[in-house]
Amino acid sequence: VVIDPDGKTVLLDRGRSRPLGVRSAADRPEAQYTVPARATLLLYTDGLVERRRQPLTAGIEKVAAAVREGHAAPLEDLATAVMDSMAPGGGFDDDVALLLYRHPGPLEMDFPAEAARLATVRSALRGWLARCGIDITTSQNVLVAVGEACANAIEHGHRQLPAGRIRLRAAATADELRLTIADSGHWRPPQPAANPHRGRGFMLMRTLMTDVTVTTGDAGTVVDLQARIPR
Amino acid sequence: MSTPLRLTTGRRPDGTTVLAAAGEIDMSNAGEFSTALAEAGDDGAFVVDLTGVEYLDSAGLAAIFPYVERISLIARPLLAPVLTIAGLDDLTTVEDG
Repeated sequence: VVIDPDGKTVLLDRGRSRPLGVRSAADRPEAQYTVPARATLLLYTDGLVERRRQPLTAGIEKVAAAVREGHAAPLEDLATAVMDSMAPGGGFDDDVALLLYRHPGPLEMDFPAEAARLATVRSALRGWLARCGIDITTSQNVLVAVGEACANAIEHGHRQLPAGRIRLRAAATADELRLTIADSGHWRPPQPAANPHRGRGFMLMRTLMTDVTVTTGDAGTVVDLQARIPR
Repeated sequence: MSTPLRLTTGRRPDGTTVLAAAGEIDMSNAGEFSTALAEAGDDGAFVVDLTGVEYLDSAGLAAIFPYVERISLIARPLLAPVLTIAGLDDLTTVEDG
């Protein structure tokens, strides 16, 4: 089952054949399908959808609806939601395997907190955003907001620790981008009056993104950015 | 890979000084940009052509702010949101392309 970013369901049923291990004289048919950007792909075994006294199509429709409903949720949450919504009253009769994939997968980077690294990170993020099918304006907004978060980490978080590192994670759902920039430093959101330059960076982040959350803990500082993807 | 930036200062036929930047401006090279602005701004009003700039953040804006009284900016639509948020849109001509 594929749910595209607009919520349309596509059943990958053109490669249908007898089960693996059952001898067949005829060649097995093959089919190709290109998963669009930010679509959700579900592969599953029959135990997920087969129910006694119910046609198979009813189970397939039900699981497609569950994925469609969660196509804006993070994949881990969606996996739980699909299993919960498909479980019969007394639990599953058969074993169940399911695999969920959203195209493209998340981008994860880990790099030294140095200004000279920013261009490489930006270039990788720009490429990932293009693979997500993100428009140029939204992409540029994300690049600047992430750039500001990294600059904060480099300037404030690592004064005492020149060898500090920054971890960047970017993930997309059907209609939202979520970016997390984590470092091992302890900085506070700058006060614009005390530091007009950094304050401006923060203001840019807040204006360009839908939501900005900064959490400072013992392990370091985490900046969470969310941006809605325009239709 | 360090941040790519090319800075060229020239003069228009009417004598106006133009500082053209191409590449990306972030905290790693904003100092270079700032030095070029200071040199171009030696003799009064001038133009900062950002048409070739693909990335500009608060580090680049901080370099520009000291000159707001005597510059005009040229930029592609790509940079328009950041320049607008920074309040520089009244100095900026946005050129397509």
